[in-house]
Amino acid sequence: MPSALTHVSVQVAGGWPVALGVLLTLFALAFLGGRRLTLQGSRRRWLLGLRWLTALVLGVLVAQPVWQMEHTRLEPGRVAVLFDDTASLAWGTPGKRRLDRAQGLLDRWSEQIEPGSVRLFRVGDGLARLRSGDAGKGLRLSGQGSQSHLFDALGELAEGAWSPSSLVLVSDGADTSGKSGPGELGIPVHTVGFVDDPPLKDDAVASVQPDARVYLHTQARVSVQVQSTGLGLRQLTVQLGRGGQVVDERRVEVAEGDAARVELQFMPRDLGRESYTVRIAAHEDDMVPQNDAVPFVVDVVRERLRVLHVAGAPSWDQRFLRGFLKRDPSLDLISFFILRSTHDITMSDPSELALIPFPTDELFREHLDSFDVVILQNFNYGPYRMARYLPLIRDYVRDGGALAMIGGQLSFDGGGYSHTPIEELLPVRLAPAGGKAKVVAGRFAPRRVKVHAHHPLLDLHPDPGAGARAFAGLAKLDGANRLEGLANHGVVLWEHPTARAAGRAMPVLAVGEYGRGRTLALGTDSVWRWTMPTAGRGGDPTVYDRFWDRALRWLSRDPQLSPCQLTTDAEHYARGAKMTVKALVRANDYTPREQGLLTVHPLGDAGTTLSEREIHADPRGHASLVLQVPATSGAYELRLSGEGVSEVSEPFLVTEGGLELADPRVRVEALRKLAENSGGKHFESPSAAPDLDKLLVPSRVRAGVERFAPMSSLWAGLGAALLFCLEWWLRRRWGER
Amino acid sequence: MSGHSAKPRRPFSPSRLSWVAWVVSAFAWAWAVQPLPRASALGGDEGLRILRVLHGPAPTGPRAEVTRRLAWEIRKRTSIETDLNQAGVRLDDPAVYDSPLLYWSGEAAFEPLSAAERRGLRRFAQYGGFVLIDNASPDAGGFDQSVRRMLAATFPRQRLRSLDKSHTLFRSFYLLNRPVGRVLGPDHLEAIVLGGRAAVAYSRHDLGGAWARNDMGHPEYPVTPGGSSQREQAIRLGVNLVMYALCLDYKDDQVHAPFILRRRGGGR
Repeated sequence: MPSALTHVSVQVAGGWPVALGVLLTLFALAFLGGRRLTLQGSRRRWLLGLRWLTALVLGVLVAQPVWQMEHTRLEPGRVAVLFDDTASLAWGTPGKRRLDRAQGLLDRWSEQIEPGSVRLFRVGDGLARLRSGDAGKGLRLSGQGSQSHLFDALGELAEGAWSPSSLVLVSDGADTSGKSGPGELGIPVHTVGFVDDPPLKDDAVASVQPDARVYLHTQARVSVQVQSTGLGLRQLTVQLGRGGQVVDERRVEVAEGDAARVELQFMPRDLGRESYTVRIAAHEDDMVPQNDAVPFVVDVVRERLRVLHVAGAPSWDQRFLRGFLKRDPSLDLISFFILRSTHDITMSDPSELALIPFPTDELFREHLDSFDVVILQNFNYGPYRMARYLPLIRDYVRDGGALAMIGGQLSFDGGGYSHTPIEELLPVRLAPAGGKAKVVAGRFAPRRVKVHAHHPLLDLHPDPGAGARAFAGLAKLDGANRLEGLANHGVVLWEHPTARAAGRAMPVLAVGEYGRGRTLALGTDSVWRWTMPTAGRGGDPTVYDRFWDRALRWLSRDPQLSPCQLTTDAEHYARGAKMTVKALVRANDYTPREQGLLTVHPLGDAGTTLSEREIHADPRGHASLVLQVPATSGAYELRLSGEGVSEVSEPFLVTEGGLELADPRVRVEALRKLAENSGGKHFESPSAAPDLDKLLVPSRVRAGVERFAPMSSLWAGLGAALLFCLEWWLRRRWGER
Repeated sequence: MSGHSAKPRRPFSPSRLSWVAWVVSAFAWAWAVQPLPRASALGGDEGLRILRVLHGPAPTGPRAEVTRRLAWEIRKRTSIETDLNQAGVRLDDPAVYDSPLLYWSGEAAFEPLSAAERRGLRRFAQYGGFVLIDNASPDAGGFDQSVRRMLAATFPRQRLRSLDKSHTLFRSFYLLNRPVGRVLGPDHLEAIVLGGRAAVAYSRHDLGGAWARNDMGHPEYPVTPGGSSQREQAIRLGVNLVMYALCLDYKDDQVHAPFILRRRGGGR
């Protein structure tokens, strides 16, 4: 039954200390003034009394006291009940799961609901009101939520417009937001936990933390926390795998109910997104096998592009290329130029020279694999006894490296590369070996091959028209190595305007792929003329920098220059969620394609296709579509392929419950502390929870507020003025100054 | 008894043997001494060109040939193939940008550059070219004053900087401790530096005077005070300057530093 209460309070302007200070000051003035009175007897007493009264009235006038009367009434309590509806309740044998027990409690309390006093909510992927489902089925929990942000939900309910007088939380206490508590709620929170029967037995990969930045060809680490509950002292083998292969493995000892941390290592070999999985072997009694394997995705970037630049002799072509390479802060450049050949006469002792031995073994055997791109510019290998290293260079490219051969008298056939492992990987066929290099003399403007206009080495300018004009304004090149046509599926990008080879225009610039690597053959030593000579003629010398920038990035397989590209809108998805995919569909020669095929595979199992969809791209090859991800958690790969389409793939993860199952233990202490700190009660299990009416806490609500400020009226001021005037008149009348 | 007898076989005489041996040896020698391919450019030019700046009176006599002499020394001592033809270019000629290496020498004061020539020189340096200015009469002041005035007008935002032996051009090929020419001169060069690169180098040592030779191939001018050893150092400086123009700070690369330090007596 409602019960009325009134609370009275008095407030003064400026607070009580100020008001009392003012009053005391006025009394002091009245006292000091009274001492100067010469009157005696009743007149003196009258004047003193009036002074003191005036001081009092003035003091009260200044203080402006306000009487406030707050009326409240007691009302029956309102309780908001929050059910944890996430995956951490749904593991185990149906019928014995925490979810089933929570459902039982929900069913019991549903029958006790009084409209207006109880509201039921669920939390799992957000806070939502529990409402009846299909007719006859009542309120149901699903156990499919992947995020239990319990503390945020409690705070939202406490501050909501409905203003409950208490909260009830039915949960295992695992808040995956990382917060340790809900903060000050101002109302009691009763908590209902769970007692697992049978007790939880579980080994788990609790957390996986890879390095924040992962660089190509650089050792990276992933820190893994494993824990064990109910299985005694455990010796766990923690494996790191990629695509079905074990990359690293460690053994760790975990005490009962405890956790241990272990560090695993991996070295990424490809740029872009890569997916790995941390796995522990499942114990036969493990009740939550879903947390025995945790996939994760890293974005592999290149720290710096490592370039080896070898030139057979100083020249302007070498000079300006080195200038470009040195200007680029993203390059790690190692240069070796042959400043002196064996028959040069230096007229000095070797100690007077600043020359160092050419470290062929270090460069082409020991450290060759550390380079992303090797540039051989006008360089012949013969004088340096490098024949034994040519197969190593071939293998380096085959295994993913990149080689650029730039022309000159010492390049191609002039460098003796005909019929060597180097010719095997070049995208061009060389003139027969022997004697001086075969040369096509004379100045010429190379012709861009239009059918490959979309190739990154030709598409140098965002505006094709401006690009064509810039190319036309370049200084002519001077001389070309004779190349006898294409080889190894080479693609010609520039051709000579007049010279012919194998019945076609002679290639001047060609690119190709060899194994996993890429190659570039530039059959001239005069591209430097795109710098000073072009600038001097009013042309655009930046074409030179753009060309070499594109060349290096293409050679090193910069993902942004891939013929085909796939991007997804996220790395992790909930089961069955929607994924937005954007695709760029092109052939290996970068020609746009209007059709492709998008397939989904388990990661590392390209033979199993889970779904496929045809995609249709615009004339530039762009396409966008929405897919549904698989309903089972795991690591997957999205693959773009099709007739004439350059294949590309992108990994993504489907996680069941996200972090929910990482640590499935009931947080008994956290639930107990939440209840005690808020003035609520903790119940160990749903069966121990009382009926809802026992959890209702009456609340006192405001019924209204009244205020009375007597000194704020005009009459109070007039009264004070009247007293002041009366005292003054009597003082003057009785002869006091 | 008569009858045909077989023609007597000519004996394989020692003289015939010697003749064959000589011929074979000659061919073998010709093949063996065939030079290794040199890195001349593919284009019509015969190699690196050092163009003389055409401004003021042209040098005469052996001084007119100093760029050829320098080109010859470079060709002999390094892997750089050089063009031995003499040629000059005006600074306001668009052809100046085709050869990024210029040599400018003089003995006396010269007329200020025209605006077009100043613009050409400034752009030449900014686009990546290298100019060597060689004072052939360092004791007189005329050429020096003209050079300084010209550089101040052409590069108003840069001042001539001193380049001492710590600069990379003193180890671009030879290890040098100081610049010398026909005269000892100051222990440093001066340069206009653009973007960390010495684009215009100025010598007050009369390098050309040390390089110049007469028609008989003998040095034309005496070198004081060091004589022939100082002349050799002057040639080496010329080689280093050209090598620097082509390789810039290549010798500053980390991988070369320990070797250079050891040879200079530094490091461990």
